[in-house]
Amino acid sequence: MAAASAANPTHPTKTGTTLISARMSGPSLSVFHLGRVPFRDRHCGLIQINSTMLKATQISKSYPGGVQALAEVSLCVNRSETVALIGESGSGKTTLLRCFNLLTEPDSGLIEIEGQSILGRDPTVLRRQIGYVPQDGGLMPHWTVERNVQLVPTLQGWEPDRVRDQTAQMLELVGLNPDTFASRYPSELSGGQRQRVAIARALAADPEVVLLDEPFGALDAITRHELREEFADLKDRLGKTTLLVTHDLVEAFRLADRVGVMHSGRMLQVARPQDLITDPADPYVTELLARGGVVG
Amino acid sequence: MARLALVFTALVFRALVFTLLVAASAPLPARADGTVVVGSKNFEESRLLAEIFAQLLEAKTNLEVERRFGLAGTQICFEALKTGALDLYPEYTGTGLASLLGEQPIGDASTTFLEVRRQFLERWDLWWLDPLGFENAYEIAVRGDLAREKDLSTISDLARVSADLTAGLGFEFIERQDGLPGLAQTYGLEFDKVQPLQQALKYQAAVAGDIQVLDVYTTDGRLDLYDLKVLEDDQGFFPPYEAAPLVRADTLEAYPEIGFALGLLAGAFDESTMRDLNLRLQEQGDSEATVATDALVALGLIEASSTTVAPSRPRNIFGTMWATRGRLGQQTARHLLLTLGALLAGIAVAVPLGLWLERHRKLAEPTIRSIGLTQTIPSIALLAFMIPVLGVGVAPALVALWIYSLFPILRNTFTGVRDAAPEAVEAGTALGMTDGQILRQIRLPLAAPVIMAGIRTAAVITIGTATLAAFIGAGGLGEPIVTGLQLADTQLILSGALPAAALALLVDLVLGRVEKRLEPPGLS
Repeated sequence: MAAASAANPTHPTKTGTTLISARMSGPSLSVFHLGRVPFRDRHCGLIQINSTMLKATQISKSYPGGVQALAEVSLCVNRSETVALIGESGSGKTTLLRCFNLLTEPDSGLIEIEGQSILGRDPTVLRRQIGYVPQDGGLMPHWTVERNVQLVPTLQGWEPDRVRDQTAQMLELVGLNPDTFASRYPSELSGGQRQRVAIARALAADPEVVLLDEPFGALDAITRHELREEFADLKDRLGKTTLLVTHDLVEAFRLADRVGVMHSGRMLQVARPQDLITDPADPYVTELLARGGVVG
Repeated sequence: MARLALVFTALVFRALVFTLLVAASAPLPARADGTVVVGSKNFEESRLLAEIFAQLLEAKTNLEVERRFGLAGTQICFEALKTGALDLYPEYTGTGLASLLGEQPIGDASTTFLEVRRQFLERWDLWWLDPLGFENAYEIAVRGDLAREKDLSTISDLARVSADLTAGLGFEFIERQDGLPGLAQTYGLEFDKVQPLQQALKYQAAVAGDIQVLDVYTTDGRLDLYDLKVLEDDQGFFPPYEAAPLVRADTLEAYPEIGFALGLLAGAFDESTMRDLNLRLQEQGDSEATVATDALVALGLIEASSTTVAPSRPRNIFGTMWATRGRLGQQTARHLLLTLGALLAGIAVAVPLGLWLERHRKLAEPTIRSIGLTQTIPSIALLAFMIPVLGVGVAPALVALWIYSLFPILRNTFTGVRDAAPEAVEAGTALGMTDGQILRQIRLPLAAPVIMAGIRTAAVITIGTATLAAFIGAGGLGEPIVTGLQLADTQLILSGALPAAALALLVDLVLGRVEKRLEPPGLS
């Protein structure tokens, strides 16, 4: 938390007090206590300081050829919170997501997880602690479902018995019978089943943070709806910190606690879904919501 | 940037080839003690004389004799001798004077002989032993009917009518200063068309009427069989071509017995004897070993051995293959060994290089393209380039075949790992696999069939190209092919070509199975 306050120079007093009061008080803090009073951060909107999990501060990224994917974008995701990033193709939402597991390295700015900067850290160690689900599932085509799900626990060096148990549990968690599916290859699965396996794989080593890049984007409407509902349920049960990129506004509004609207590499607004509707920060937000079928 | 990468790659490649050449050439001087290497050019008389030398050395000395016959032409033989890859081979004084020393004719046979002996010793430390007693000069012949019709008896006569004629000439003759260029200049010869032809094919072409003029050798046994008129060299253009053993001086110093043994052949053969001996090789299908033994027995230099009954070759292809099955087996084994050695070395270099290039994409295209260039070098030229560095025999053949095997393996390895399931590779990266884990667990298993397909292509190419290795004395199934080409003996050519083709098919089949086996599960 000390790093969080250091990175947040605008509120030295409040964060300092937070630390002291947190030490003095038990888990059931009164909402009137100073440490739990939510305050408005310049970049992150309404947050509780001691629960920030993911934080990006003024990050910029340009690709060769001069395309600016991100222009001084900031974002906070709190512990157990789900934030959805929406915007058109090329708005920078996927680039921002990929910054959190260093698949993309920003040109400038700060990326923190639990108050620790991740820039310059060994990316492979970091990535093993973060779940990741790409749009196409990204399953290894020559591995069985079981081996795919075992990937991260094995990388982390779990005992084989524990890995096996966990695999079965994870498959059940995403609604796949281990006896039927464990030995199948990805080519023997439907699109929806493949995404379920990808989610099981992302969750297998019980990461704190899960990044989902259009996880249901390639599915037909019925399967997508089915998976979305199951995922909503799963999310509530597991309480993972989740960052979700989607171009489906209905999905974003259904799954996310807060939604970030991106346009041309800039973050226009991060707010709760209803606040986006009632209190849009930019005409583009209203326009996007109307086009996405959420309002209007 | 791209140019820099290209230059860098070219440098790396050059360094690689150089290192390999040096490494492969290292064992060259370390020849077993008491071994003498006898070479020959790729025509029947040269092989016969070399075999006579070899048998005589085996009979009269304690030396081990290694045979490297059928080397492709004077230059290759001579280079091999200079570098020590050969100890001796039969050469002709006129060729030494005109082709190797580059001088004009200087007089009669003995003047010529003394001049080449003096200059070869001075310039290259090579020694001409005493001449064998016959000359095998280049001569110009025309069809008999044409000679009678136009009343041709000298080359000067030919020059009058040559503008309407087609000449079928040997490859070497067309290039050599003591061949067509000098001849045309001296006599003002100008042909309507010059058709490069193998010696053995010229006679048939002349009979068929495709050519009217051809270059022949004095001792060619076939001269008597066809209606040909040999024209007189009335302006004395061709130097005398006395045959003699040409030996490295340091070999003679180490084993003077070579000089004594081969000295026994001084003046031993005249032209008509040689013509008879050559004819047995050319038209009767006797092996050079049999003919050489008979010649040495006739001279009283070795005892007739009762076991060497000369079997004339059967006149059908399978009979020929059956009769020579022992040698054919050895040649097949040698062929496989050459192919396998080159292929394994190719895999050892091209697969890691392909994997490395996948990580260094900017260098990939320039590197692969420059290695692709090696495919455009004609095989026989590549083999010839190797001679000054690696001598003759297995080493240069292996290196040349190795170079040919690189491109298909490299290309397939690179594209195979590059294109292997990009979405799985990215997910693996995102979930914390290291580059090494991704390579071993994802890219390589998925690319394995593609890499194997490249190896398969390389194997088939190598088996085909390895037939040319016989031109530089590396043996293999090219031997009967090369000999067959010289003799225009279709059966002999087929007895090498059929097993080579069968070998290629078989290897392709086996590697195809391996490729299938390597296909990862789950990809249907």
